[in-house]
Amino acid sequence: MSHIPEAIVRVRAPFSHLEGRRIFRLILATIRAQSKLSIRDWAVLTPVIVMPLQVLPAMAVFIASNRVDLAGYAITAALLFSIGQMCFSVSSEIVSNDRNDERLELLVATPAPYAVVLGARALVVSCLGLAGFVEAWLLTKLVFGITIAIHHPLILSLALAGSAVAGGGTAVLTAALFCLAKETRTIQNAVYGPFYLMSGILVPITFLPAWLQIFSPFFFFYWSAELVRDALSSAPIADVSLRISALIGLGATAAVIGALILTRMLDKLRRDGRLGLA
Amino acid sequence: MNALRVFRYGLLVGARDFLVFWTWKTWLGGWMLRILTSVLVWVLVGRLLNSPSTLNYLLIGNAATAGLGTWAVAAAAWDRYSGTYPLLVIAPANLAWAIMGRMSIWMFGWIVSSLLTFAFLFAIFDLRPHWQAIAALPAMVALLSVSTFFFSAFLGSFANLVPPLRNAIGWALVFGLMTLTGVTVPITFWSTGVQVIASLLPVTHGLQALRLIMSDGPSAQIWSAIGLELLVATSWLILAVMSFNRFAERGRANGSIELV
Repeated sequence: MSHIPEAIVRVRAPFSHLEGRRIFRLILATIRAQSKLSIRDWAVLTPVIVMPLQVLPAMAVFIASNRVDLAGYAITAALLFSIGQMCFSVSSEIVSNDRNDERLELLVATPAPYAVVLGARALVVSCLGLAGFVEAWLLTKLVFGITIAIHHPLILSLALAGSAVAGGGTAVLTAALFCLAKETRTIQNAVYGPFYLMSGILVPITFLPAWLQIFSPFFFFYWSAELVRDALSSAPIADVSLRISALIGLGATAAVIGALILTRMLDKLRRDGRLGLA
Repeated sequence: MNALRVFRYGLLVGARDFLVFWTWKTWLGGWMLRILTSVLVWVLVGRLLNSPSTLNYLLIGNAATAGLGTWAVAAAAWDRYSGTYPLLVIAPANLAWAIMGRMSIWMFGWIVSSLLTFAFLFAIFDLRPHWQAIAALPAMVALLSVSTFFFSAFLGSFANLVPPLRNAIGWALVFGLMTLTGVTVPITFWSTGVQVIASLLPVTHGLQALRLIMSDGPSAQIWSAIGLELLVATSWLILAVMSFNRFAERGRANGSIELV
């Protein structure tokens, strides 16, 4: 009987009994599990393989217009199309899939905070999206014989890592929102396009109407796109740390909001005894 | 006649599939928002290159193929997952018509997506095509969609064979058409070998005809391009029907019909 009050405390404050080291171990274990799952799952691998193909039409337009100098734009777009597909399509369905496969109840019943598990899984999926960069680079080399030079490799690595982290963080929020909403597909589809357009992933936002550009800094892809494009060009780059902070900051904010929504929703479902029913 | 009847029942199943994903409101609000913004991402390349002619080229190509090729290949494999595939194989009717009926609902979505995209882009880029072009637009978009649908059906037979690859095949179709068939660059951009492949694909000739119509080109060229598109479409239809049946027979012979 003496265990019951403790159990109630756990429900109310899922983080209180876990110190940092155990959270870290949980994240590592989840990352390992998700990596093993992803490697065998076509639903995860398909976007990584096919999305970078979009580098081909983009490069074709640039070459046909004698603007090979814009090759970096094409490869940036291909990378972000891959990460975007991983976040909005694959990661965002993690919660709904856990629900449909009746795995969510088990995960929620363990002492591990579900939001942390979700975040770690979304991070793995997001990191896999980075393969899009390598594939797009190779496709450009093989199909068009163009070697895209990387003028700022360190900044490129930081930008890629930052994009993966921000993508994982954003996916926590979208996953939470998608399983709250009834019309998952609508939101999912309505998110991609505006996200890409507003962030200027292929064409920089200066070519958008001025009133739309105001909103672009709120999209993490905007910072990713600008940083990756700059890292591929020979010109010196300004304000790197500020821009990478903005990128990671946006991802972290999204992750925290997503975790709060998810924790509150799960707590409510548990209190009402409807977790397995909803 | 029986084929049409079977196709119609397949289409009714497809309509149910469609309603699982969309209502007309979510389709207009979610799907069309995605399509219009994705098309704009590509059309803006014309602005980046500071070339009105490139913008116009990308606009027509991307609007004519907006949404084209989506969902249908995956839908070909859904009978595998619903467990209805073996029943279609043992039924006396040709299973190709049943599966193609189920797939075809998405083709109607392509036609509407493309026409709405044209209307939207004409409005925001303030274009005024002449009335003959506007009158021909629905028919040309329908032609592109039908021929892409027949090619999707051929690819769908392979999705049926290896269902986990259905989405990869579907995406490869979308990006393949976008790259090779004159949507973003004229097919003459590619090497001769690639041009031969492009001329066997749907969209290539039909889109060429549409571009000629939009620019008031010679009618003999327009009609011959339309004729070629019809020829390509019919060939893919024949191959699709043969291929669906061949794979079903293969499954019967080696006992893999129930295995996904």
